[in-house]
Amino acid sequence: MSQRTAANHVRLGLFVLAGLACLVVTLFLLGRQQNLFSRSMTVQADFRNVSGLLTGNNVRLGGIPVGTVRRIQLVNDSTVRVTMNLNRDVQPFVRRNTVATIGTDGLVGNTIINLAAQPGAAPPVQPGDRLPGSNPVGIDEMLSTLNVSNRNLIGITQDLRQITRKLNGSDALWQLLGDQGLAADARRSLRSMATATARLDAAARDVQQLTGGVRRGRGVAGYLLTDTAFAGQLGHATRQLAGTSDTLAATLAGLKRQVQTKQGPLNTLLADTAFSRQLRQSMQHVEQGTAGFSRSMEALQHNVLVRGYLKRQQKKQARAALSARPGAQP
Amino acid sequence: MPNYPILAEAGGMAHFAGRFFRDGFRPRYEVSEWLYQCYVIGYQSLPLVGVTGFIMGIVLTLQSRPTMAQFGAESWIPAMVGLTIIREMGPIITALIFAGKIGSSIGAELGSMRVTEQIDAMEVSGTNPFKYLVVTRVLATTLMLPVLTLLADAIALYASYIGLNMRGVTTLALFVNNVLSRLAFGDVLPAFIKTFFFGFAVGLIGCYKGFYADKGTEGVGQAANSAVVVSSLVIFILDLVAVQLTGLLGLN
Repeated sequence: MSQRTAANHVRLGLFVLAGLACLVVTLFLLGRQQNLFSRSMTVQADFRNVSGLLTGNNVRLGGIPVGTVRRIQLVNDSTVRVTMNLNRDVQPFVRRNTVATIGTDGLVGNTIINLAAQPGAAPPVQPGDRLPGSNPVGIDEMLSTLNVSNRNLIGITQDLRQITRKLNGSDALWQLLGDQGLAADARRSLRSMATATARLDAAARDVQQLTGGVRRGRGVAGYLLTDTAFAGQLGHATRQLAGTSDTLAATLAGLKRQVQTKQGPLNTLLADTAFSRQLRQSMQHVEQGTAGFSRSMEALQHNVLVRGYLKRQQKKQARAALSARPGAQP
Repeated sequence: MPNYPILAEAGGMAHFAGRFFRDGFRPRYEVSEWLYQCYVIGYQSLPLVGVTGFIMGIVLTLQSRPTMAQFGAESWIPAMVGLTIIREMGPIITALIFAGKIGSSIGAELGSMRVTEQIDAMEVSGTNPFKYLVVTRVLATTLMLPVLTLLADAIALYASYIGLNMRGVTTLALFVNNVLSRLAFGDVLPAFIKTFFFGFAVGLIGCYKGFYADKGTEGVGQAANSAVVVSSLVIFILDLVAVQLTGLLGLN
């Protein structure tokens, strides 16, 4: 009991204070981590499935912790409402259209809520707002999709195996591959192909020159394609043509009308059967008349009055035929 | 009624504890003696506890590194070591060391006072030996063990930081962030609160064993020995109770 001095009390005080300082600092840091000391606001988000989210899990915006999950409650059989405490400092950055998604911290880490900013303008979020929630891709879903992919992969690899086996067993292919002359042939073909392409290139250059000439208005095609006056004339001609065809159409229409009207002469001509019968009779009469006339003319030839004229005519014809024959003497 | 020494012991200890609560909060208070006991029990145990904590931190880090590296989870070492130290290793190792150092010294001190009849003399001279000897010591252990545990945790975490830097490079800020990111109030506060009970158990059992020592000098050694053994056992039992209670409170 000899060391009961003031110095010892100071040491004891230091010791106790150091211990308590450790505790206080730890608790303060923990509290700051959980936003106990900063001003916060609550926002909500609805999910179908929160995949094991717990009260106190982090809320992240762009990967930075900005709050914690405050409360998780079932609203109905398919909706879970998550109430989050967000730091007031980030309020301007969380827009009303920000989407909340459930994610995990690493592959096996804690479940967290990610806030993802969306394109488009929206006012900053206010306390009590409800953010749209997006449901997480479950590992189960992923695995079931993967299962299908795996099954497909099995089929694909089996097919590949068959193909490779067939390829392996194909003598023709191996002969083709083992043929040394083939390479030389291929090289030759390629060389000739190169010359062909060179020629093609030259031809293309010619064509280019030609088209260039045409564009500059040289040659017939150039004149046709580039002369603006010609185009005007062409336009005029086509307009004329159009006018002509219009007139024609009008005429035809008039004709058609004429035909269709019962009283017109054309209609009588075309449609009246009595008229056609009369016409046929008239034609028969004409035929009979001409036959009579022919007979009268025959009789006239043998008449004394015209015989001399006819003879002179025959002689003239014979002379003309003689002079028309080449090398012949009259 | 059959004679079960263990039951008699438990009953005696419970009675002793009841007497502590009855007498301890009544004046007059032995403040000066209490402060001195705090100095002896707390401050003078710090080097031992500090060394233990330092070694614990560094060993935990170096031991867990190969396994964690196998899983590619070296970045999780700070979080894991921090949780281990703060939740369990810090309190329990510190309490056991404390029981070994303080429990035995209290048991031996009070036991020798008992067998040399100093306690009887105190009673005769009008000083309440229970207040003067027991209440001051039990209060001192109850209040000093939490402080020691906090300091041991801090030292162990710093040692863990050093251990990490022996095989790689980690900044202190990253280390602190890593440890804190996995820590919650539910990890720190139950671990802190249970050390009060550990301290109380160590002090109470040491005092009980010493206060009721008999059979001369042999009894002193026995008192010191059984104080350490019983308080170590009680510390583990209390730890079990604590982990169940925190589990019931939903803090695990």
